[in-house]
Amino acid sequence: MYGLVNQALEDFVRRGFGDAAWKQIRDNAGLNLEMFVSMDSYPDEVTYQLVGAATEVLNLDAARILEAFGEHWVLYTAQEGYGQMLSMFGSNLEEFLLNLDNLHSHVGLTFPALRPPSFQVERIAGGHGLLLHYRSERAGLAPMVIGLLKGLGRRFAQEIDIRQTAHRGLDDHDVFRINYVAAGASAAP
Amino acid sequence: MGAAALNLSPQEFAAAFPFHIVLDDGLRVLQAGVVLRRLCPGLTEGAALGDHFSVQRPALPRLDFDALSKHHKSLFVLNHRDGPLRLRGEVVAQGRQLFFLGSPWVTGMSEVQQIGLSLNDFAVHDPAVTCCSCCRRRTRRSPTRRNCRGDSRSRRTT
Repeated sequence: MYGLVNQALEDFVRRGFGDAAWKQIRDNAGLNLEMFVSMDSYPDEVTYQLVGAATEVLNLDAARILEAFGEHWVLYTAQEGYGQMLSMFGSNLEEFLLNLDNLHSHVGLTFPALRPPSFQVERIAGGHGLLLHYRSERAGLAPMVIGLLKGLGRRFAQEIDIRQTAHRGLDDHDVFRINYVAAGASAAP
Repeated sequence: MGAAALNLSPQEFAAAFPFHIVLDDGLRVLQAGVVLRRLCPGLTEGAALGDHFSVQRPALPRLDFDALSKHHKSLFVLNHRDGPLRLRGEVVAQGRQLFFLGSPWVTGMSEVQQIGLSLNDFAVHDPAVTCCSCCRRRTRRSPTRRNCRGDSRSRRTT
């Protein structure tokens, strides 16, 4: 994972639970570095170990942490200088989700060590919503995608309801059904 | 102004897209750009795309006409199976034919040479050439950059 992900995780813990909690998580994860460099690549284990340590220190299960972290990821990247890029890739939720895969393709070409996930949108006939197909080389991050979608919903002021309809392991890959809650508020082009 | 009524001649098209591939609905090559054919001599008429390239992005359930033609708004990344060549572009469907329009993804002059290309092989409009000159400028500045990196590395490992 790029350092940016670990930085965001650190920011999420420090803001929500305090500096002491972060220090404890870092120590429990056996991490002996003071800070992450955003554009350096770190082994995935670092992130998984931090989340594992966080479940104990914060007394929350991994899915809840990942979901809250996913929501924070949208805020964090926007404030860390990627806000303009986020705006460029869509002016409403649906447009952004349609471009999400290309965003990751572009970033993947620019940062070769990145193994970015894939997000594909399937439209639902007549429905106020869509299906999002998520594929990743990494296991266990579906809750983070749910948080990410919630964060994006907030960013684009689009209230949504998210349900996971297929699960990697049981099915070929994870699928999320996203329904727009406020009728007529869907800003579909 | 509506759709463009003026088009390029086949020769002009070939010059503008020296790395293009035209495929039939069985994903067999109908035509390929002259520079691409030089890099991938096996990419002759009738050759199967999948024998020569794998599709890295977007994620496809299978490599066939329907899967490709669904992705007319996607950035495609194709990896050559026999070497370091990586193509970046898009797929345009015209009836039952697919046009891959794109060019090699390169981040520096040495990479261009390693693939077996010179900058003349790129279309003039291709930003890859400009990108390579940016990278060259960055390389020349690299001592300072390396120092910066070194500093940050030593800071975070203390």
